[in-house]
Amino acid sequence: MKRAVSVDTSSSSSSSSKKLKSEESPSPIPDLTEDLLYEVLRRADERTLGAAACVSSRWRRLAQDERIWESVCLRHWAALGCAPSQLRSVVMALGGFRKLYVSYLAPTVATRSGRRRRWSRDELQMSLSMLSVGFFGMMGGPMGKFPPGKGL
Amino acid sequence: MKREYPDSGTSSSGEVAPKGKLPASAPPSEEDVDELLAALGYKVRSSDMADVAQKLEQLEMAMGMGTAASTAPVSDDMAFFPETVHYNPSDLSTWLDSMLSELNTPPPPLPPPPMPPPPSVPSFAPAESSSVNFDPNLISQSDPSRERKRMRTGSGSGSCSSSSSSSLGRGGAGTTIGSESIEPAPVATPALPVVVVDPQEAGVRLVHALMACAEAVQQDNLKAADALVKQISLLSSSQGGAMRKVATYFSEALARRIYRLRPPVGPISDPSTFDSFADLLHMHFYETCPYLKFAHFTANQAILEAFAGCKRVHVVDFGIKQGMQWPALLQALALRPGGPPSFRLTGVGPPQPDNSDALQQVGLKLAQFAHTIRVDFKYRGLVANSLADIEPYMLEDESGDGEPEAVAINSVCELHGLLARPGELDKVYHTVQKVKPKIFTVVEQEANHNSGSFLDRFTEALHYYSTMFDSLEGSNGSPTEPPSPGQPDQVMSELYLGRQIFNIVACEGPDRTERHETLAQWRRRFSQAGFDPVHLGSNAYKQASTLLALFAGGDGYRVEEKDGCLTLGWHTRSLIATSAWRVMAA
Repeated sequence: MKRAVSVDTSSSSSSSSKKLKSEESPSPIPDLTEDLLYEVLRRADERTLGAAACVSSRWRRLAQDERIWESVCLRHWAALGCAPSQLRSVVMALGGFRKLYVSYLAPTVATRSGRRRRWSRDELQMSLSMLSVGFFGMMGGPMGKFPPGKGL
Repeated sequence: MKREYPDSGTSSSGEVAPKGKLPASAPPSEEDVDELLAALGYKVRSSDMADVAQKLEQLEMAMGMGTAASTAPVSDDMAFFPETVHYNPSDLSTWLDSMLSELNTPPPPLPPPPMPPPPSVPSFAPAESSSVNFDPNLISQSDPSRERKRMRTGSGSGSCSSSSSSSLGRGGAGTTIGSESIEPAPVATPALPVVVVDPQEAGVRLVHALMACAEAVQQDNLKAADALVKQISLLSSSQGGAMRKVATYFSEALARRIYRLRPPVGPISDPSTFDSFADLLHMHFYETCPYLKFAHFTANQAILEAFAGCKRVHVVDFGIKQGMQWPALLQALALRPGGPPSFRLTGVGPPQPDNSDALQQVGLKLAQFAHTIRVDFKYRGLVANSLADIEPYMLEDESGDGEPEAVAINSVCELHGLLARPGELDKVYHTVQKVKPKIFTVVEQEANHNSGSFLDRFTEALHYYSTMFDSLEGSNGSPTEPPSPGQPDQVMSELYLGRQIFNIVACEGPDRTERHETLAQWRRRFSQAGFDPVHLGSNAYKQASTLLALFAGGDGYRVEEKDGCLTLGWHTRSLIATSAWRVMAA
């Protein structure tokens, strides 16, 4: 879908209205509005999001949107012990959902074999604990300059 | 077209020694060559045997002096051995002569040791000359017999090496790493043709030498102990990996005990830098391996469960250090259904020699963290030389309004130090009883390093720290290549453990603060002091398992549940235990 819609092609797929608009600024990527793009990306999986972030700066900004990553994380958690707003305020303060996923949840996917299943509460709690420790370690202060250790 | 292989003298001596091929070089007269040595590829006349034995011990002394002076755990042994490949070691007698002359002229190029024991270096020299008189009595008796033994067991080395793994005790699977580092062994063999034939055998001898030295120390036979320390240095250079490091630390500790270097000299023990350096090592240890993380997460889980439903909570940390345990608990409280309680933390720490207020700085950092996640936070720092100095009034809630506080007391590896001075532990128990906490979480090393007998203590510690070092090695080196010794995190973690070894072996009385005791021993103490155990729930167990699953390095770690307490260990050996207690209902 992304590659097929090219303004220059003569394929009549996407109708004349697009052609009329495209005369102003030719662009090789689909000319979706922000909302539409967001809705598409919101349903994408993590790998797609990673790829999407490489397309253009506009796409990157949207693919890295915290709301999208929040739903990525919540999609996999079996049960939340707390209200989503509560979780959101804590996680955003400690670096965000994308960081949570990339640094502390993605490694569990790598170690897991077979199909993806829902993450357990313990994995959720562990990843949040590690996020806290990581954030604390990076804070300025007496040991703020301490280099973060490799792995966990 | 056949290639004529040159004299075996140019080939790496590794081929000559273990394979037992007879070299084609011009040997001493064929008659009356010692048979057993010939089987190994050495041509020595039977009549020369005593002479060769004496030269061997001289060589050993010459090399022993070199390696004993540098007790640095990461010494580069390759630099020490001169270019020996061009000598033909099969003609043992002349080869020894050439080795001795070479070693006696240029000083061996040793790297400067990072932990310089300056007073001990001059004292080594006179001790050396006195022990040279002593040693021939000790060693020349055993040397020819050792040689004989070597020949005989050479054929049975298969059975010997299997016993070497078992003699190193629990977790010994990892300690035969010495055989992996094949590179040092062949180069080592020309220098020590008889003493070190097989790294695994040398490993067994190393353990025996360590035990013999400890026994000599216990019997106050300091001369024998000194000689053995030198032997240990020699033997440990033939090993690689964890075994070498453990042996180096233990032999250094023994040397300190023998020479009464207490407190140990060097940057580690220098009082003005002591605490900040100790904290740095502690941080590295925290990052490198899962033991402290396990301790923090399991204790936090117990505290979290104990605080269920409480609106005002107070945590007392008996050793706050850098406060690494508390961000995770604060975060868990922030995500509690119903919102976080108001949180108060009392951090206890030793006085800082340079008058910096480390306790306050940690408090500020934690306060900032709590503010970020919107948890109501209060902090108080308590400076105390010993936990016994804490009185209940210091932990009281000064605001005293509204709901009473729920108190949790947390101690990670702080209680064993109290056993060094009589009465201190009882005083702490008494204070805790007065405060009436909801829970008292305790983490301690799972080992008995407090036995009255020095030898028992030494043996226990040797097993414990061998396993510890194995786990560091196992989780940091890749399985396909020997781990590079230069990784700073690992080295710092090893130094952190090394200081504990020094304390256990070299110190006595109130100075000996690393008085670890087993979970069973602590259980007895706690129940005698009027505490009931609190079972750590399945949540804590699951947390620990998840931690290990995430911790990519090393599958050797094991979490076990023992009567409501959790232990983390390496393979079959438990190394650290978390338990929780509450005051016995009256």
